[in-house]
Amino acid sequence: MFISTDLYLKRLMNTLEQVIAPEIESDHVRGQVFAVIDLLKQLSDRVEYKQFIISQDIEIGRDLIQRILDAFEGAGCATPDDLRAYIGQMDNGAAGKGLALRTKVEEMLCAALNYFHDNINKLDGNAAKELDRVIREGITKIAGRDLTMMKPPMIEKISRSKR
Amino acid sequence: MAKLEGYLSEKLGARNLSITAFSKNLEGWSMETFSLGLSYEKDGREVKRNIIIRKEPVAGLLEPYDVSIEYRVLTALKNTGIAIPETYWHESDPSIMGLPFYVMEKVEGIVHFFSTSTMFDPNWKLIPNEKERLSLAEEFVNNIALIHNVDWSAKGLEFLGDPGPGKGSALRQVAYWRDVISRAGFGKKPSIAYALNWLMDNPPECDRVCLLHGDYRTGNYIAQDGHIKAVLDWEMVHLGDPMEDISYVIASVWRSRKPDSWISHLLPEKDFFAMYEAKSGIKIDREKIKFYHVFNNFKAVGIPATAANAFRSKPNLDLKVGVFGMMIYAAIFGLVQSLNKYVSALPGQGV
Repeated sequence: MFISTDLYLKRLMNTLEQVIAPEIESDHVRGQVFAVIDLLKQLSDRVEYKQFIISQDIEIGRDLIQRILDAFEGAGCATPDDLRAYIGQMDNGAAGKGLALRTKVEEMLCAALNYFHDNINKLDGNAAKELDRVIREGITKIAGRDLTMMKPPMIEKISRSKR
Repeated sequence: MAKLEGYLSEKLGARNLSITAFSKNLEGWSMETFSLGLSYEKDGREVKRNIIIRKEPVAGLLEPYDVSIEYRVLTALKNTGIAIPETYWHESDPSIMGLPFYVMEKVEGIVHFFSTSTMFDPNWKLIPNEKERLSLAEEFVNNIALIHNVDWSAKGLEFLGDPGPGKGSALRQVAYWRDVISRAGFGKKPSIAYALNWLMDNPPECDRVCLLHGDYRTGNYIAQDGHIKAVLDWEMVHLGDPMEDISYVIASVWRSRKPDSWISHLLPEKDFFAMYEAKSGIKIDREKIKFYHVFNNFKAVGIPATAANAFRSKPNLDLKVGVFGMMIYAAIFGLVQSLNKYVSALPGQGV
């Protein structure tokens, strides 16, 4: 999730209260809308990201950074100090946790991918090819997982809603 | 409403003007479109007419908005043979409707809608009438060929930004969408970084800069009796390589279900290519199309990314913006898929 669950819930409650409820003629149905708002409010401090999503993003990101550094260092190339240091921080638990860590890992992985891109000619062909395969496998795994979690959007009902 | 009536009276030189109908089009997910019925007196005659007002939204999928671009392009394209609505005027004063807008003719007809509820029905066809489909197919190709053949310089469309010959067309668009994604806060996603490096390294040469629609497909035109009456949604119009538009047009997301897999639910790919080449005089370049396939998937990330960012940063927005923002997962998956299909990161092994 790129936007916090909390923010989504706030926006939903706001729309229900400010936009939808005032338009409802039936007192009973309007009351039901306020019941939904109340339930969302009660839930908002209790719902969390699914932990496995964050953990998997962090794990894949860390592994890819490590693989990129190892490949280049194995070929005798100097790698960016901050990337190697960051892996160390992650391993000793000093890099933070949760969403903030996930965001930072993604940022560091982008830096590692840029390093891979800029220095790919320093690897021999097979090593470069294998590293590229591993990188793609990682980003494909995350993208595929996120896609499978998507529910079919109700575009038609939203755009052409009829009673 | 009285304020708008007063404003329209003045602009139209009308007396006793009243707005007899006012509705907001719910199908658009970007610019706001309003349909108005007007009744007034002018030169001693009673007039009843319908107009369309197209207004910048507070926030949306294609920020930053400048409705004047679409207005200027549509106005410049009058008498080119392209099916477009007639434009009347552009209003930059935000005090009238909250944000700038322009006014145009209301074109009667229907806009085809890709129904998700029927997508698994093998017998379902968006345009079931064969005669109508074939006629629309011909006009669909004809309009894109006309757009690509517009003498944009003679029509005063340089303001769209001439990318020049060579790699400028591709690089300019990649940089534009890179900035869009970055502004939305999605620049530091690994799939984006990987794609961007490849796109910046492999821009194709363009020997003919054309006017591009940027979102040309069924669903973005008004049809009536098998004819395209008006090509709509010019929000992504720009100058560039015609293969960018062609790659967008043939994307699988706009096609009918397999096994037909018709371009925009209208015609097979080979027929589309043959008709396009014949009508436009521009040769299809399949290698370039592959580059632009990856690029269009990159661009497709920028749109929900902008929506997600708007939803995150601006309260009291239409929830549709939030719904569209959620589609970023599908867009990123599409991008990764296109990378896996076409791209090698290794030098000299691009598309």
